[in-house]
Amino acid sequence: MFLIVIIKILFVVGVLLTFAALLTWVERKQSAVTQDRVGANRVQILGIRALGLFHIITDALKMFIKEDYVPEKVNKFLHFIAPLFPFFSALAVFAVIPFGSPIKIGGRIVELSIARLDSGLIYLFALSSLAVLGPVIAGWASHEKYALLGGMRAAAQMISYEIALGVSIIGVIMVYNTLDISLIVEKQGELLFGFLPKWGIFVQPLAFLLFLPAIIAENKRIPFDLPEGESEIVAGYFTEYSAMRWGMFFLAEFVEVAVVAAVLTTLFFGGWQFPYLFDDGFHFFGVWHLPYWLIVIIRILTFFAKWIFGIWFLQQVRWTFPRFRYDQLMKLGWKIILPWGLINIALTAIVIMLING
Amino acid sequence: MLATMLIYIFGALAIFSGLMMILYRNPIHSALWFGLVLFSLAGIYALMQAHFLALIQILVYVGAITVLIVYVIALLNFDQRDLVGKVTILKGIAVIVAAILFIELLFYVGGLYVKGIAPPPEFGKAANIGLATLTRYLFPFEVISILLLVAVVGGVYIAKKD
Repeated sequence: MFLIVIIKILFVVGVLLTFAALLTWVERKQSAVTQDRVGANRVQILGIRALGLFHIITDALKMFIKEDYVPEKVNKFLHFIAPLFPFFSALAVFAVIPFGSPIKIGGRIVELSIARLDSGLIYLFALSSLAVLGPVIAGWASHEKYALLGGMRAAAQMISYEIALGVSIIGVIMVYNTLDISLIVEKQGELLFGFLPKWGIFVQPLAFLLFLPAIIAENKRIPFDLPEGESEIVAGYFTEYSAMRWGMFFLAEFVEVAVVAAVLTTLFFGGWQFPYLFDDGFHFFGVWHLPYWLIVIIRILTFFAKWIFGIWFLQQVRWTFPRFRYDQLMKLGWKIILPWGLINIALTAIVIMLING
Repeated sequence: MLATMLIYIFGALAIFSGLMMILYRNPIHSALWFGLVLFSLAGIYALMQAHFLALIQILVYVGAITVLIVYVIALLNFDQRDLVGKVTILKGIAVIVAAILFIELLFYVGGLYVKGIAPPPEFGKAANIGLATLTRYLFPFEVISILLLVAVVGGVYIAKKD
């Protein structure tokens, strides 16, 4: 049992770090495609360029051998620990995300998520709320005004949007009637009116529209990247960071992109559910039986396909929209997402009451 | 066995960081140690089967309240020398009250320990907490919400005054 958990942890951490590394390349290439450029293609090994994939290696090398410069007046200890918060909270959040249906190995059922918790959704929010400590501590410890401004912006933004996030997701909890993420995914396999998969985006479209901007804002990427707004405050909270310490913030951001895409997949796009695929095979104009192992593999691949689509979508958002102004950001969070989230709760409650009679 | 060990570790961490919180002169350090106190309390709750409470503790107190405290302290921009206060009668009273509270808690918790109360199996599940809040403890719940509303209205009033 212990061994299985260790294997799952290694798998998840390995996948997340691989995704984060690949995302540094995706970021460049996708921005290039969006802006009609060629993009990173200079690094070559023996004449092979591999679409610029080797830039990942050179990036890592550069971050490790650069001088790790720590300004004299910073608070050394806090300056050191600040980048760890966003990085480890992003990794820890993934523990409750199921990446496949439970599998049976020798009479034992193995959940394909590191931990199945009774209040998994609360765990997700609790652990992701720790990430905000990173920018705040970094901003304060750097002993510099731009960093402090960035840290303050990050704190205000992330706490505001945490509320918006929490309110927008309540409708989903009401529909599936549980906080257990694995159970939410299982319930998304049911069919609505006999043909529509009961995915979050179909039963809670308004919640999805509110949740999406809120969770991008939690990620602090464009159009919500005010904490690091280069044109105003140099680089915000990580102005005084260099080499691998800066790299930790940078990597944390990409791990967060991957985690956000996984959360969206799990809550709104049915997680590992393939439409019309049940435990015994396809139910599509009759029943098409499939072997058990094939169903398991299809479901894991489905999760990964949806996950990669989600990451592509988030990257496209990042390269499409301009940055918000600060008052627009606060207005969106408090005056649009929060009230509409409350309306969504009322509407969902009325519909559930009507259906249950 | 592991659970008992972890309870001792989290308990020691809570006491240690609580001491650090009051012994540090720099308020930002105190605030962060306070965050660690709350985090280790969450660990203890989790080991006592109150998973929901533990997660809410992290979500609300560590993720939001601690950050807000740090936010406010960083914005205040005070002189550290102002914080070194003189001994006043009020502080003397505070010490006495704290001592009495500590002794009371010691007796109360000691009594519980002797009785060895084990939580029922359904203890701490989110559904049960929700049910209890909306049935048996509905009145205290509503009163607390009014209290919070008063605080919000007061905050808006102070902000609007100038």
